Amino acid sequence: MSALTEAKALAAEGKKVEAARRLRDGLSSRMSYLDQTSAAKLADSLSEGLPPVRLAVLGSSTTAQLLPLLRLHAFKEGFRLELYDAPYDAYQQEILDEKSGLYAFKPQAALLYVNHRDARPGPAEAEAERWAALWTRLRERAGCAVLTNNFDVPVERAWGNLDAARTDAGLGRLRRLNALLAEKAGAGVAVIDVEHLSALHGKESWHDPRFWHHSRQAMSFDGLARYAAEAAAVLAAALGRSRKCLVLDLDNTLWGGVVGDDGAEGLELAGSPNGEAHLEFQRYVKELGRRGVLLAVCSKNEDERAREPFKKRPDMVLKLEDFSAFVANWEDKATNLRSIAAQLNIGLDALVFVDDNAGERELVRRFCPEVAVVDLPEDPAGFSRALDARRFFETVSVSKEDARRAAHFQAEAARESLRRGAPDLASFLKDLEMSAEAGPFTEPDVARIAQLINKTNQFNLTTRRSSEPEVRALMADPAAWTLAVRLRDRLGDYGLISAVIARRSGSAFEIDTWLMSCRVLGRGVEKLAFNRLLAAARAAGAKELVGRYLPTAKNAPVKELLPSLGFAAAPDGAWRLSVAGAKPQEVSIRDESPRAA
Amino acid sequence: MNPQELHDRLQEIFRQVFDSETLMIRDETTAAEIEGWDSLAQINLVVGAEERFGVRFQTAEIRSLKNVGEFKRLIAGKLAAS
Repeated sequence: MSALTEAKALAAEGKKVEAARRLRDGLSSRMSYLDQTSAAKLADSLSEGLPPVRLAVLGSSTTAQLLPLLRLHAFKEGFRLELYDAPYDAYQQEILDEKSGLYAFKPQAALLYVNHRDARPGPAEAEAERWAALWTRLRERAGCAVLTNNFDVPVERAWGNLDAARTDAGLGRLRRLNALLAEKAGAGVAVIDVEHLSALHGKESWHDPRFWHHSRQAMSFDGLARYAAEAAAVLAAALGRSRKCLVLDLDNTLWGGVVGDDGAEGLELAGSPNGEAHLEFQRYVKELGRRGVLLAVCSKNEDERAREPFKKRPDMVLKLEDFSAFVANWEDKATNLRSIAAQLNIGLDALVFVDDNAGERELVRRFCPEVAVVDLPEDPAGFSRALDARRFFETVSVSKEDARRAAHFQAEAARESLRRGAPDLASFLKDLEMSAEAGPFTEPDVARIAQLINKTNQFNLTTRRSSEPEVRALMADPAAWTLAVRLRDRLGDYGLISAVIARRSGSAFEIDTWLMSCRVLGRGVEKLAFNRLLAAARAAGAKELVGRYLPTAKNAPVKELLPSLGFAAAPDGAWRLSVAGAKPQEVSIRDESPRAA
Repeated sequence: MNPQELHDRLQEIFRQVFDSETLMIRDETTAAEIEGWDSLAQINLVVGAEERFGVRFQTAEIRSLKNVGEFKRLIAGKLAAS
């Protein structure tokens, strides 16, 4: 089902908040024009309560199709547009006549929706001066932010490649004019780079001459949808509402691999294609930092371990001093994002969250809906573009008052989000619709089990290693009990992620090995494994469960595992639990094992 | 594509453009009969048909639609030619 259909269904059930969230998340440049027109109607019905913004649209071409799309994308940015649609191709009169409808409307921002046909013939310098004078008049009279298109260079080049060299007409002059407009903007005037957008979109489908002839449509309709998204992002920036801080996961986001398992030296960075892709992403992030975006780390790791790659790997582009906040612990990420926002004294709605793990992204979406979440592709080579395409960090020069208002707004939001307190994890886990298959080790899984046993360092109670033949020997040993767990949720299949080995020893059931992949930390898989372990101990007639925590440099995450399940410390350093008194743990994972115990 | 399938898919586009789950179209349906069938809706119908049927209208065809039947014949002709 498409995001649009889902959002419509939610709205029909009266679930407006959920409908709005689904619609915002599902809105992308891949949504067709027809669907965007429907989405726009839905957004109009869900915009009530959003802060209103008065925008005057001054078009030299038809604006009827643009306006609903602008309202839609403004909704995505979190505000509700009140629009003034100036008469067709009257933008100059409207700006020059102080009694015009434009000034009577008292806009907070005005959008000059113009195209290359509006550039008068002649030298670029004089033409740029003329536009700058129009902007100044508009800005001074209306006291509003000015947004303007630059000029999309057309596809046709009568002079062929030489067109680029012309200075009085053609492609060369338009390019020069665009460069001059960019220089003259600033101070309350923001240029929407339509020339870049048209190239990004593909010039051949950016402008559709049929609809220009039919009804003076300056852009094709899918081009128009892309434009509306960009204009809304620039508008948000002009109003001081762009995002301020980029919060980054570490493992498999900034580098390839898991530092807790692979060690700083084992991470993929320079020298491998995958590592190079991560480094390229680091360069993009570094550039964001240079231009003033705050950078923060939010990672499930030991703090010290998380900092090691920054200290030990000279090929890291990002350095510890690039980050304004560095949070590495085992708390859930929603809680950590709140503390990052509080540390930096900004609102949750100033944060953008980047994490390769879809489960973490879903958790953040659920518990911190104010935080913007980037859906990363699986391949790190696509990370920079996925982030860049969302235009979170658009920036234009803003008035002091705008900045003050924004700061006040952020402080309010920060207080509010702190008041709201800790998220309800239990209901989140339920909504993930997790299901597991758990059963004894089987031959097809031997390679994966041996890999887990030999590679897992963090969630590993004893860090005992075994080879494939040793795993097979265990499977044949009647005194050994084994459990392999597979996990799935509605976001994907995690595969085989946990293994437990126990042994009958007199009246005790002894835990030899208990490990789990860190990708599913905090889901309750260990509780499900415990329930199986307890049931097996009962079935075997054992009186107690016995486990040991063998500390290593990396396995602090399981230090509290046994006591948290009710095991008591014994004088010999082991942890013991009486089978008779033990109760199964509550889990939110549906057990879909073929022979569930 | 058989005529019924074409009809159903076109009706789906009409329902989306006019935001009505129950709208029924007939060959004789004209713009005057459907509330909101103005020039903006007309463009959305054409663009919607191009997106959903994968056809392309010529400049002159964009404004020459008398009723639904003519719209269907135009689409069917383009589908047959492709």
